[in-house]
Order: sequence, then structure tokens, then C-alpha cells
Amino acid sequence: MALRQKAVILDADAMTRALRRMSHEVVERHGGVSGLWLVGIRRRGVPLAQRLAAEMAAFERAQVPIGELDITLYRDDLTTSHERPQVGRTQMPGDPRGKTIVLVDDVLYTGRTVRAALDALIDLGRPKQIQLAVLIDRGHRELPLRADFVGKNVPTSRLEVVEVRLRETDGRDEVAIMEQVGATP
Amino acid sequence: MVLRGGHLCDPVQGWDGPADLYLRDGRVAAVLAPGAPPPAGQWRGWDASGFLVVPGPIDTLCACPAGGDPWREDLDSLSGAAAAGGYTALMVHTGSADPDRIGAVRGRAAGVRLHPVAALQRDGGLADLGLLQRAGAVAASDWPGQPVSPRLLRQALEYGAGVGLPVVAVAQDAELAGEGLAHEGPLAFALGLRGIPACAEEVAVARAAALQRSGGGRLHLAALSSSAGLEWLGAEVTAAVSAHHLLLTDAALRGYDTAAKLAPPLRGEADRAGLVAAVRAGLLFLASDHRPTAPEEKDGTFEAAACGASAVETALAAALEVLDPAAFVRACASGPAAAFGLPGGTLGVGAPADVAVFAPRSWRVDWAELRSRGRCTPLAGRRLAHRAVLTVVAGRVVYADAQTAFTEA
Amino acid sequence: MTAAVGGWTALQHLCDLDGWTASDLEGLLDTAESMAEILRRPIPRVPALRGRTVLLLFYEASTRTRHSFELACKALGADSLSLAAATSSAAKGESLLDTLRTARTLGADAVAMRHPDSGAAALAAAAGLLPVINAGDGAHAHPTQALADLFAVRRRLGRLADLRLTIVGDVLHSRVARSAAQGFRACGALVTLCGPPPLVPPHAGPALGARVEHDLARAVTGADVVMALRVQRERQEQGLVPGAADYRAGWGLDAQRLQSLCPQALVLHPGPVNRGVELSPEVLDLPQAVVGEQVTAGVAVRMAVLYRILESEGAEGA
Repeated sequence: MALRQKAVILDADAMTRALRRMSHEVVERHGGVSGLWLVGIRRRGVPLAQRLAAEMAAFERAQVPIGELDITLYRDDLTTSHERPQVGRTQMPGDPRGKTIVLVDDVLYTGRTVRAALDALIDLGRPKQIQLAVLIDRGHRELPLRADFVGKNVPTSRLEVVEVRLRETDGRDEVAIMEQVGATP
Repeated sequence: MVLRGGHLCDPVQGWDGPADLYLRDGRVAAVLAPGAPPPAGQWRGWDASGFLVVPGPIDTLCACPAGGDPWREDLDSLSGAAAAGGYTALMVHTGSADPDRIGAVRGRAAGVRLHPVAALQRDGGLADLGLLQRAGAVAASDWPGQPVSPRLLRQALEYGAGVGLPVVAVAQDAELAGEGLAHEGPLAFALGLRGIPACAEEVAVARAAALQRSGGGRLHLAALSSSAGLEWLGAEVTAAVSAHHLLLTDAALRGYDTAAKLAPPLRGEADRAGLVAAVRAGLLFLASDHRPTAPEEKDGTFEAAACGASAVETALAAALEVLDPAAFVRACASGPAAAFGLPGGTLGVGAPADVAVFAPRSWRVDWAELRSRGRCTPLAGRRLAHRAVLTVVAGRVVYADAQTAFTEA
Repeated sequence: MTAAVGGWTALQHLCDLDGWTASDLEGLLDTAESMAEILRRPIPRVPALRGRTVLLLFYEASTRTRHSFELACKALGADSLSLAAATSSAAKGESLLDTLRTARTLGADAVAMRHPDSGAAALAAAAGLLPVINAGDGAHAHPTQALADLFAVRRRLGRLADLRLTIVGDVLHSRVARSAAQGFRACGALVTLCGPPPLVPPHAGPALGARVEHDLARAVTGADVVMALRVQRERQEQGLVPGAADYRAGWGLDAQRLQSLCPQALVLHPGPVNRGVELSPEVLDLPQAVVGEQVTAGVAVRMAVLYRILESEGAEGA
């Protein structure tokens, strides 16, 4: 099924501003960075977590530990998914017990990825608190979940696809809405 | 009846060309140039032009079916399958030392001629070779089963010479073969199958030939798989090879195909080529090595599978893939007839009217179409260029291919 | 054994490593690395294969391989069902394929099987009843063991290409040797086979794409990895080797021999060691012995294989 770009909803500058605002919100809510971890959901959540940490380092003068979470083995939609991702590695900066963990992902949609990420995270040890930061919230939740920090809320149709492109993975920073060509609404 | 215009090949008579073959009262009445005026009398004519006409092939190695259940091979299904393959006679290895059993096989009315081969041993000693010969046995054999001791083989050769009974011996040393499953070589090694060394055969051939040389008698080795023992063969020591071993190598075992589990095993290309050359040179006879198996004997692992395959319907056509007509007739008709003193082997005037006709018609071997109830062949799926279309035993048509329109001429 | 599904190479069966390329193998080892990380967790368990059942069908006794598969199933959230030949109807003559049919009816999603006959796994796979993972068939193949060895060696040495592997011992009867030779060769290693000629016959070389060198010193000098195969007592009874002392003199590996001939080489041993026959006891305590790590490696690679097979199995028709 072919996809055609419909609109760019976030360019590089807007993305930087959104991430800067989110990093401030996280620190404000947490009252500093002590005991705070940023854990990116592979793949694009990982560079986003690194960017948030870099922002925090600039104004808090402290490095927030970063983790990487691979949720392939926790997904409940493997049999319906068309893409078959390679199982990646999970790396945590230490023992998660007692930590406040901010899960970072690019897009919040049905909530199934976050559900899997919560299972995966809790299996590694019991954190004090888990919060969720996403660059884009596009709605259409299928589970009772919400994000604590959102870069941009974007109303979408289920037939559309939100593509987050990052320098680290795609060579440039932007978020675009794609629509299916020839699809019947 | 008369078969008109076929390519008649009979090395005994020196014929290798078109001829009209006249059969009457179960014997060859005349062989004339095509179109020559017929002998006196009424002749029902068959147009065989473009076909190969040969003296009736005799199979030197064929298992005697046990029968019993309707799905198992019996003498009738065997005979029908053999006739469809072009055979007019079978040396049926009964494994029995009982003269009554030999007599029963001998007297059995079937499409093709049945020549019983008796067991050469009974209770660890020599079987009653004289009584068996009188009952109709044409040879005594240790096939199938374990080869007998050298001492017993020597006794059988000596005593057999006295009562006119040739001895057929298994050409494999049981101890060297051990529990081997396949030709000892790179493929068996890669597949993890225990090997049967070629020397297991060479040693058995050499030992049997030495016993024959020392004590006399007529020795025939049932089936060879390797060219290693050929130097031991001669006038009094003959041997046969199966058509499977002329066409296939151990490469047929890839994927653990149990249909290719044979005894002796399929070997490498050098052995196959050596055996083909030996048949062409008149050194070896052709055997079908027909040993039908039940489906449950072949549907397990290679290790658990029985040895053998159905072969009487495919052996002659398969041999024609690699042999010219003269070598073919020597290997499957005139050679065996002379070695075992059997009727046939030639179409000279007065000889039995045992004839096979082969058409140059390509066909694909399909196990599901086999008449043999074994229905297992390593040649399955292979195309063969010739096919038996008419088989005549003692002047009587025992098989005529339905697809070949024999115009009465 | 494999078929491409939507650009992803789905694994249907694992009978042997025939046809596997270096990138296939490295990819599976990468997955196994992720699995090894799970095994290091306090609760080594993920729900990836929850609701799936794996039949462990063992016609031959094996505690280690069966436990390794059981642990792999458990870590992935799958159920395992063990059937040993002695306690199942296999002993009463029920055929392998009948057993698989029954297992499928009972809800098994895959079978890991060990059988004394070479080719048994291929026979089961050809029947198309269940995805088959070969846990050892006769002298033919033991692919998951070879994967564990590849995993352990890649971990220690950081690469597999251009390694020199020498396999010493009873190659003739060893499915481990056949699969290891196949796997290491596919990854670009140079394989040498060494042992008494009756156990390492000349055609072993062409059969496994390896060099045959009967002299131990020449075979192991310069090797990066030495695999010592078990020599079973029955070989002695079969007359293939005269006796343990004679074998040890020619092909036994002791610390002094290893230190002088190939001090850098890793030492692998696939099974219970006949201490003092193929390996002298102190070798297992050398830093280059990988005996212990092979156990974890075994579970990790079996997880990777189970995941790859069952994950693609469920995706069919989706």
C-alpha cells in the first residue's frame, strides 16, 4: 500500500522547541533530576530520550541516566503486525528500583506499545514511579492510558500514518502525516 | 503369429536388423527378411516396425513374494508386473530348501516362466541340492539373508556341480558391511549414515571366486554394486548388476529417500560407470533385484526402512538407457540362459517363442502406476526412453500395451 | 529450511545448518544476545510466546539438552511438554509421525526432537505436521548445540570469520562435529578435523568441507578454537580405537599440550567429559575453557530459535 505525504506538522525548529518545553516540564514536575531516568522505547524513543537529557544537562548541569528498552518480546500484536522487527537489546543504567522513570516514545497511538513497555520495565524491577513522554499524541487509544508530557497533540484519521523522522535515524528532524493512496475512507 | 518389420536383435544368431519373426506352436518357426514371402500357413500379423524385438529377457534375481494379504505382492501380481516390464522369465529366489515348495513355484501357472531358486542351506548345513534340482530348482542361493560360511559355500559349489545346480551367492561380507546403511563415502558421512565399504563386496567376490577355483562348480554372484571385484569374474564365475546400479548413484540418498535404500547399496559415480562398462563388455548380467516392500517398511527413518524396491517393470527399460541392443540382449537374455541352462536366450528357429518388444516411447516412472504391489522405486519421477509394449511367452501374448495400436498386417 | 516472508526470513524448521549463510547465522546470534540479556535479569522471563506449547520429544536420553529447551521455553513464556520415549507410546511402537499427529491434536505448536536415527528430524519436518527443531538426530546434526558454540566463541573472540577451528576426536559418530563444522564454515572459519583415521576417515574432509589432519600437533598448532569430542567406550568395543591409554597418547588434550601448541586457543567440549580420556582434568580449569558459558549460550540460542520459529508460525496468513 503506497503512502503519500499529506502535511509536515512539525519542522526541525518546532521539534527542538517542543522537546525543550517537555524537558522543563519533566524537571519541574519532578522537582529536579535526582533519581530520575529517561528510558527510550526502541528505536526512535532512544534518540528522543537522549535529546531530552541533553536539554536537561544544559539547564540543570547534571546528566540524567538514559536506558534503552526493547519491547519486541512483550508485544501482543506480533501476529497482526506486518513488520517483523529484529529483537533488539534492552540496556538499563542500573537497578530501576526506587527510581522515577520517564518512558520516552515518538508517537502515542493505540497505547499497545506503551502497555508492552510497562510490562517490560516492571519485569526489570519495581520503579517508584513511571511517567510517559511522547513527541506526538495522535489519539485513537485502545487502552486506558495517557501521556504525562506531550510535544504536540495531532488529530488524525485511522487511515493516516504519522511518521517521525529524526536526525539520528532518518537524517533530518520533522514529523509528517502520510495518507494511504487509493484507500477508501 | 508374425511380428513384422521389427529391429530383431539376437547376438547368438548374429542378427541385428529388421526382420519378420514367425512364431508357431510355442516355438520360433522362421526368421525372414522383411516382406519375404511367408512360410505356408495362416499368420496373424503384428506390425513391429520401429520397435526393438529381442529374445525373452530372463531376470536372474527376483524375490519370491510371500503373498498372504491382498495388498502384498504375490506370484500373480509379480508375474503381471514382470510381463509389463518385458520379462518372459524370472529366477525366483524362494529362500526355501523344501522340494515341495520348489515344485509348487515351478508348476505355478503364471504369465511368465517361473524358475525357482532354492536355498542352499538348511539348519546350518547343506540343503538337499539333488532333490531340489529334481523338483525344478535352477540354482541354489544364500540370497536373501546372511551369506553362508566359506566352508558351506565351498561344499555347495562342489556338491552342486555333481547334481547340475549352479550356486548363487550374496556378494557382501556381512562382518565388513556391519550395520552399514549406505555406500561408505562423503555423502553417507555428511548424512550421518553408517557406511558399507566397497571392500565388503570385493572381499566376498574374491573369496567366493577362490572357493570356486579350488573346488569347481558354477558360481554366480547375485548383484554387484562396485567395480572393485570385476577382475574375479570369468566363464565359471558370473555376476549380475541391477539396473538401479547402472543409472543411479548414492546421490539418490539425499534427503534420506528410503526408496533408494537398496542392498547392495548405491555407490559412487566411478562404480556406476565401471559397472556400465562391464555390462557393455559382456562381463555382467542384468538383474532386476526386484524386492517389493510394504509402505510401512519404507515410511519411517532411513535407518528403520527395509532394503529393496520394485523393479521388474522398470529394470529393462532403465537398462536400455545405457546399453545398446546387443549388449542388452547378452546381459538379460542369452547370458543368463546359457549360464543357468534355461530355455530361451535366442530366437533361432526352433527356440521357445519367448519374445519382448520395446517401443522408443518416452514415459515417466510413476510409483502409483506400478502393477507391483511394492509401489516403491528409486526411479520415480524419472523419464525413460523405451517402454515394453508386447511380451510373448511360449507364443502366447502375456502383455500388450493398451496405448500401442498394433495394426494387424 | 527457510522461506522469505515479507522481506523477513521466516524459519520454518531447524533440521541442520545446511544452506545457512554467515548473515543468517550472525542474525540469529544477535537475537540470542538479546535473549542472553533476559537471562541475566532477576526474573528471566518475557511473555513473547505466551500461550504456545512446545513438545520436547526425546527418543534418546538427554538431560542437558532437554533442560536447556525447557528453560528456553520458560523464559519466553511458552509451555513445554516433555515426552520421553520410555514413558510414551513411542516405546510401544507408535511411529514418530503418529506421535506428532497426536501432539498437534493436543495443541502443540512446535516440536524439539531427539532421535537415534539420522534424518529423523528431516522426516518429521517433511510430514508438515509441526515446525521441527532438531535436538539431535543420530550422527547427522545437532544444530542448536553448534549455534551455542558459535555464540560462545563469538562472545569470547568477537568474530567468527577467518577463525581456525580444530575438531579433535570421534568425528565419525558425532552430530555435534557435523553441525559445528557446517556452522563455523558458513561463518567463514577454516575447519580442521583430527583424530584416529577410523574415526576421521579420508572422506570426512570432502563431506564436511574441512581439512583432515591426523597428527594432533599439526592439527591444533595455530588454532583459535579447539573442540574436543567425547570418545565413547563402545568405540573401543567396536575396535575402532584400541583403548583409552592409546587414544590419550595420540589425541588426548592436556594443559601442557595445549599451552605449548596453541596457548591462545579456546577449548570447547560439547558433552559430559570422560575426564582423562579426551581432555585431562586440569584443562577444564584453564581460562580458555568455555565449558561453563556453553550452558547459558545454549539456553539463549534455543530461545532465539524458538522465538524465530514460533513468531513466524503465528504470522502465517496474518
